[in-house]
Amino acid sequence: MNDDQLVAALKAQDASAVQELVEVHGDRLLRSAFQLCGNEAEAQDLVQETFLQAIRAAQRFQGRSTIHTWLYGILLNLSRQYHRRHHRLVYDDDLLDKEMAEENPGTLDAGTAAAALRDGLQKISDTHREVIVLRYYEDMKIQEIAEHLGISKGTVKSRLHYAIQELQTFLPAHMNLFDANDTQEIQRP
Amino acid sequence: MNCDSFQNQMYEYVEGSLSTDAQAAMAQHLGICNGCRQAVEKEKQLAMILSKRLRQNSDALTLSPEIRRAILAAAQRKAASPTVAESVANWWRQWIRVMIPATALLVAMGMVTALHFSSRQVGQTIQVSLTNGVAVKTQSPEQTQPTTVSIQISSQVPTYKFQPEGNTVVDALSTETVMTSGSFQPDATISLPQTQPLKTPL
Repeated sequence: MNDDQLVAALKAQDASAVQELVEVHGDRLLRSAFQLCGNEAEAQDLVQETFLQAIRAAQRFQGRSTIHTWLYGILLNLSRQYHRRHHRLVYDDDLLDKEMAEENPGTLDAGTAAAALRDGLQKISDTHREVIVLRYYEDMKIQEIAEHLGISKGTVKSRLHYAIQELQTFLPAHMNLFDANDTQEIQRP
Repeated sequence: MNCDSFQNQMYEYVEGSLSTDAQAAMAQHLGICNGCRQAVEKEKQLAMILSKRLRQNSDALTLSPEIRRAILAAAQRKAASPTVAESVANWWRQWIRVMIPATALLVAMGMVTALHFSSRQVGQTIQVSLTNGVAVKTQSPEQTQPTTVSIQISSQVPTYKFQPEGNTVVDALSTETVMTSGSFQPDATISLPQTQPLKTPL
């Protein structure tokens, strides 16, 4: 089904349309949810709730945006609610320090760097996290991010600038976001 | 262009969303400004690193079968037990979907018949017969000038929109215009006009 047919089927409460919706959009939403909350189990719950809300709100969907944009908007709202409820640090200082001590002090292996980035992303503010995920994971353009978040393009650009600065403060000292040479793929035996 | 102007549109330049002229102006500035050139390289490097690291964290993830089943079960429960408001709204949608085209067709057929008889010339003999459901006009020998009759019919069709409010349903009545058009010539096959679909599907 194309988007229009899918929307019509959803409004008609066609369960097979829901199945197709989940098949087409489920995994992509899950991966974005993981970027937003940093925890796979929580991300699964967020996506489940996203689809449940979409099923309940299908009659109100006007079709002015794509289905993915609509679903993503629901996910963003749920992500914000999640962070308001869970003001805790996911980052484990001891674990990361231990892992880094075992490595070449000048470099981090890719897996550790990715984990550090995941944890750093959960420490920055919600608004900064969202623009980073939308820009650098969802590959959205400035105009698209502005429309998604309901803010001006200037605000998007300003948030991106300060988001990167804030994120860098939560990363290991020698993990430079602007230098690909500080991490390397280490071949483990 | 100065560096402030450049920096103001740097993101758009890197993503390639500027107009051709603007993109060219930015590229021209980069040709003479080392600072802005480094800023662009820095942004491209950042985008590459972040994109790669973020995907490393999540690309293998897939929605669990349990979650998929739970979503589908919720959808099936909802379909099996719609709320009162949804039941009323669904009934109206099905009813309107049948009545609007039927009404428009009846009106169109009535207008075609009325116009046909009103446009008949004095002394002209016109025979109309149905062939395979299509009216065919037979031209009489006395007829001199063929005429083309254009028909445009608009009909006002009531539309009900239902909105649930708590345990009740609020309905708002409005009208939508359904347009039908067609034409026929005395010596041509007459076809019934086609009804244009509503702009807003119910």
